[in-house]
Amino acid sequence: MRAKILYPVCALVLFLFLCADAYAGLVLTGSLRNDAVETIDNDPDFNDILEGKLVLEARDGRDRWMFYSDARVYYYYGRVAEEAGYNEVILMRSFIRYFSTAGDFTVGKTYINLGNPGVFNIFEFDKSLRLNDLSYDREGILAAEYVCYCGSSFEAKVYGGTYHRDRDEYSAASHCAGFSLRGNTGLFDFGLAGNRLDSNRNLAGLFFKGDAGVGLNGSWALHFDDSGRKAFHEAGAGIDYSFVEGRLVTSLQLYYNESGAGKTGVHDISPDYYFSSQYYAYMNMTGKIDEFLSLKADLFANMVDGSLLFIPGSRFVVADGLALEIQVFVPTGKGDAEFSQDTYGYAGTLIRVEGKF
Amino acid sequence: MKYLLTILIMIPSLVSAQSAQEIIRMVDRNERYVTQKYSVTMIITKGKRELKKTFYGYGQKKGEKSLIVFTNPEDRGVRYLKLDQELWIYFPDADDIMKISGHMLRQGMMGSDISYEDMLESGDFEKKYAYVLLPEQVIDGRPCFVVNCTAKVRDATYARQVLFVDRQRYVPVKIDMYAKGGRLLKRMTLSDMKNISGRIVPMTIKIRDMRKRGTGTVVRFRSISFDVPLDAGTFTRRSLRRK
Repeated sequence: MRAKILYPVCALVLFLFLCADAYAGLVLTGSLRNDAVETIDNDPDFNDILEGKLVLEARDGRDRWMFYSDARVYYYYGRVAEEAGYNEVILMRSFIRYFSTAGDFTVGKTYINLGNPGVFNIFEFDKSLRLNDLSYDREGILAAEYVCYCGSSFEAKVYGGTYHRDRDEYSAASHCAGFSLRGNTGLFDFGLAGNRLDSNRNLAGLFFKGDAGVGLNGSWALHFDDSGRKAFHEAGAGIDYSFVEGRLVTSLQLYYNESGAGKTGVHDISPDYYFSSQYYAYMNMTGKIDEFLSLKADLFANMVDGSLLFIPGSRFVVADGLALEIQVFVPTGKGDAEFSQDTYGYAGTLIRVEGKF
Repeated sequence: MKYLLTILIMIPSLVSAQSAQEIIRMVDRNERYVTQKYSVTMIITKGKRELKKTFYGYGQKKGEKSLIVFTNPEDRGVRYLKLDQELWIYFPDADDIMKISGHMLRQGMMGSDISYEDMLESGDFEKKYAYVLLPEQVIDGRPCFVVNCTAKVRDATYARQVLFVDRQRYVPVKIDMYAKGGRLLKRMTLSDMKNISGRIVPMTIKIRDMRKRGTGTVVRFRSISFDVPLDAGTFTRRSLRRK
């Protein structure tokens, strides 16, 4: 806890020192969000998660330096408190960024974005998904990153860093490094990326994203160990389109991981893949009634055992920065299927209230 | 719509014009500026309810380049960069830059009545539209030229636009935008004229999507200044992470 607080403080002091002659001031923003989750089955239970988000941002007057820090405080109630404790502090990101004519340099705890961001980003470090919030921003890693731009159509990124996995046997600190090269042809972004996630865990691959009448994206990566063996493929492909002047947006994303389970009833946890199977599909449909009310439906499908997780929901904007969201979770699987009612209950509801300032 | 998109309208007041081309040319001529800087409050209404969004921005060379930075709580840090006919968006949470193209261009910017296509509708107005002068009309007590602009090229956002230009100030006070079939799609009204640095600028612009009932977007300039010095890198993709 102490280190988490000291880290951004030290970074801020360093930032102030670096730009003492042209310091422009601090901006403090944040949000408060409460998720009330009720599962419905023979043994129903209630969980409540209260998240406080505090973002501190500072720039020098000449836009050369930037300090950014994002800390979260959580309070848990219910069964989730038994697993995570009653409260938790997470420093999501805290970094200093220097903008020079040669490129942007970032040092600190920062989010490394390689490839296509989204639900199935092949090049993502953390492949756990928050099913109740698929756009939830990820926790950064301690890293040094350099990004250089060549006009508006080419970008090169390199980084080196260290991170800590909390998942079971992968809880040791790992060192990582990688790069991505990204270009734009007008219709499409395309690129290649290489990433060394850990000792003996490497991947290299290609990605693209763009629009040819409909939105298209695709990623492919080859995973291999230091000897070049134990190679397996990971790939994703997606399509999206909007109707009614952009008020109805639909998307479909397919995901494949060769190392995932090819049969039902196997749910091993691995940092190398989302969930546990070889094949998944994700569908989303979002209808915007107006700026205040939107309806959406998410659907995850395990294409090996055929189980589905259906998540319809609605979001209502009460005022700028204040929103109310309701979601229902409906698993359809039985028995040892991944999205099984025996595991998740018949259904679940989530009521979210979020205020930003 | 180009007037909103460059988020500026600068019109001369002492010129008379005879033909439609001359009127448009006079309007265009006085839109000239090197750089601009502004801050805006955008109010989106639906019936009696309204959402307020705030942003500031920079423009260069008749708005062919612009950068917009949102500052209201819901959208804080979201940035748009327009480089001629390309539009990029920056999401601060994901620290990611995405190009807006194809079907996404039909979506409204931040839920407003201004579509991304509208944002790109600037520059080359003379190349895209053919002009015909219609009989004059009186709008809010002021005599106006009425210029019918018909698209000459396929990639024009609207098949037809009708500009109502204040006869004395040469400021558009109303613009109607039509679809190919003749349906009125959007209506923009410009008001609260203010003389800034020798230019008459409408400080309030209302946009209504005529296909939606009870909705509207009001863009209100809180401040605006012209020909201010800007960093050389203001309108580059990397400026999306920087500003």
